[in-house]
Amino acid sequence: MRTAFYLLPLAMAPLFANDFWLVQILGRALSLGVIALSLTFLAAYLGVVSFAQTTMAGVAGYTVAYFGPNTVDVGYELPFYVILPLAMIMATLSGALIGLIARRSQGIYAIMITLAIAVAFFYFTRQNYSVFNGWTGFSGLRAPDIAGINLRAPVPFYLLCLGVAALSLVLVNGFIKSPLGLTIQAVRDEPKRVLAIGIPTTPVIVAAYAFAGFIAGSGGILNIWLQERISSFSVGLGPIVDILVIAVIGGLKHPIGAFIGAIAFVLLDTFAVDFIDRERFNTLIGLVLLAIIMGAPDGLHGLAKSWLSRSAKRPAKIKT
Amino acid sequence: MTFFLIVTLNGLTLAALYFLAASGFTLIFGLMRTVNMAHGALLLLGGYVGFEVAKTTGIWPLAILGGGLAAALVGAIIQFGILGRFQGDELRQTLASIALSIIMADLMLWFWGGITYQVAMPDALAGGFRLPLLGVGYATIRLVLIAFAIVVGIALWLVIAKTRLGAIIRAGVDDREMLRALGFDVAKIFVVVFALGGLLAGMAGVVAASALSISPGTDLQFLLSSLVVVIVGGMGSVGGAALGALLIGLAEQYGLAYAPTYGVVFTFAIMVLVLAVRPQGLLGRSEA
Amino acid sequence: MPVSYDHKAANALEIQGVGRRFGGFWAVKDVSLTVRPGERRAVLGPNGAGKTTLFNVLTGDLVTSAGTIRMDGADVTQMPMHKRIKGGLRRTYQHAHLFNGLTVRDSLFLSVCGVAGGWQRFMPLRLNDGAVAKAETLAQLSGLSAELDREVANLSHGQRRQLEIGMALAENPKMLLLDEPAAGLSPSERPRLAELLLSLPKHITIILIEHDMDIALKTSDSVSVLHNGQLLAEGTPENIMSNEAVHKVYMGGAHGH
Repeated sequence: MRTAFYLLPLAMAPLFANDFWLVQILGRALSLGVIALSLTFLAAYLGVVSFAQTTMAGVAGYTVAYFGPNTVDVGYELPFYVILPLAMIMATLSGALIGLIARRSQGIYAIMITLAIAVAFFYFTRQNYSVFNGWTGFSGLRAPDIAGINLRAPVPFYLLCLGVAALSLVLVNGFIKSPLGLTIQAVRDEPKRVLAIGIPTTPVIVAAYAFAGFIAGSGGILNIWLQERISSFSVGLGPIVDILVIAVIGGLKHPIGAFIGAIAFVLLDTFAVDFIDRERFNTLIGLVLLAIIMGAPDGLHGLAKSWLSRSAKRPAKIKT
Repeated sequence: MTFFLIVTLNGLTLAALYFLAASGFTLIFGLMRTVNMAHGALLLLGGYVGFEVAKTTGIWPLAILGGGLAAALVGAIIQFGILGRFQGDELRQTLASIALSIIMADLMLWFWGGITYQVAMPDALAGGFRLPLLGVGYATIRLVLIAFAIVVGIALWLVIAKTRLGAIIRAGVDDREMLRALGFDVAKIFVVVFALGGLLAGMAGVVAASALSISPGTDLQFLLSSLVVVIVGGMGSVGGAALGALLIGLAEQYGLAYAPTYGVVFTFAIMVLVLAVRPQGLLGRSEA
Repeated sequence: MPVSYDHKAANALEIQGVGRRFGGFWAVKDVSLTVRPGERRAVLGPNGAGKTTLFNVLTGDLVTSAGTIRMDGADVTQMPMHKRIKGGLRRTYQHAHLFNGLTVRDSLFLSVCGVAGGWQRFMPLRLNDGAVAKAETLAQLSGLSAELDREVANLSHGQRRQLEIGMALAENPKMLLLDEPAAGLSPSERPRLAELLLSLPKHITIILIEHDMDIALKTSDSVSVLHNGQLLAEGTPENIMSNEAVHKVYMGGAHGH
């Protein structure tokens, strides 16, 4: 399988990569990639660009923070085997709720509404102290030991990220072939016609958002274990735009684009400082984004695909 | 009672500011279906330029004009050079305008730094004004702001209802293809309208910098308020922007005064409620 | 005409005073119709007569501004579209609204699931899924067996029309509303469409909008003529062909075609 072809070198990365690369580059890219995957899923199969994926990831992150070990005096500690499913359920529900609110909106309308929801959540986390602990949020978050394996150690954490990323890709690819996945794509193409074959569209849209919430939630948990903290800034406009940038740079047409974009983004974020003033990173990322949007609307994945198909065709062509 | 009236007045001030910011946004959306995510950046740019003009000349109306024209020019360049290339591909336009807003925000941060600016006002506006009946003082600039928003609203209405450009805009909202078929240079009209939207944003920026203050982040704050205002009021409708601004401005101030922790929830609840009952916004027209 | 049908007492369709307004303009106004089970009814009328709007109101694509709609004796005026579909109603669209990103097989499969249920399943399909077999039967019926794995976006115009009908035939419809099924078909494709329509089970009620007189009159046993949103005449094809008023508004207007 093609997936195994990509997976094998990544699974062997701990053999030659140091801890910094494993955690800060690859682990971070994979966890951001999973969140971006939830956006790419909605964009590719429901036809909606959602700005609320960071919010869904944040709901899972906050759930883990509130019910897990933290160094602020907020929350109620539960064992991890309760917390993790609970966090996934909460993220899925948040996705469903956002889908319910945005169900009648498509295209640019959906962008505006999901953005408004996401920012309302940001302000809410900043103002609420009883659950979200305001703008300070939670710190000292620690990944648990599971079956004697310390998930905070670089290699296990990296392999966990890789596993979750691979699993969520497999999940997306399976889901879109299921009857519900096909119905979601049908709603993307012709919502009216979906009604005309006897299927109400609201539950379909809500289900798509809920699934996206599930995926985003798993990325969100990885992300807070990596950062060891979560606060309103984690669900603010910066991270919201980062996820969008990742998904767009990678390409919104195919799930793998999310990970291509995430790798590109993290490399840029980490090493751009060698080329330009650290302070001007946003200008750089803005220009990269603009260049991709103007020159390669299907992102790096689209570029790679057209290069591959061109170079495959070349031998057959004889120049005259 | 006095407290309530002061809060109401604060709400009206905020609503005036929101309307000024949202009017250009909704105008652009109404004609060309472009969601200009760089609208907040244009507003902030107008505010900064207005500050510079006020500092150099000391003439406040000139600051308003200067800020407005600077944002209008940049808006025209954005539409002419970048967004106009993908007319009809709304998603791509929206994403491109996000990229532009990131770049603009960063360059402005570079040039003007992270500090807070306030535009110096003429003495006549700088003080307070004793309100009749209430017997309390209220910042004159805020009252001027409300008056300014009303004047801009009426002027905008006159432009749209009475002028040739307005007729074209109205026709274009109904049917852009028709404009093209009638032989109008649609690309040029779009640049003009984008400049007009920028002008409104820039002026709003100077006003915001006078009545409140501006700093990095002001761009996003007003982009988001504009988004919520047009979602509630109806996208593309100037009257809707006024209504939406009024609702959101008042809700925000009442929220701040009476339930400070959950102020944002009011705004959000209004938006969700409107979406549930009238997805196209209170005064918006259904897309279908 | 011998008709065997579950609801002998009820008319397949009975609408009374139905209207649909857009702003101040009545696209359909005060139309009353009765269609018997198994009847084949053609709806004729010049462009803008309100035929498609009438269909949209019957299916629930548009809400009714006035009047009542009864199907099989039950009032469906307020019923959402997808429930009417479950009740046995199907339609095709004049401008094909199809799932361009899906294959023919998946489109037909979803049409089966929409009525029979099962679209909610989120596990990948088993190979022997009953709905898939039904989809393949539908493809055979609509002449698309060779195209099952093609993406809908890549179908020819004629094939898209066939798919429209194939999707509408999923799960034993009781009533079919066909909106200009022959539009855009080549002269050679038209007889095959007429043949397909005539071969449909006799208990299916069909209401047909069609500009191709040949197909319309060959496949229907009664005709309603709409003009300016209102019912102008009703009768057998022969009656209608000799009706003066109809000649004036409709046949007269046909010069332009």
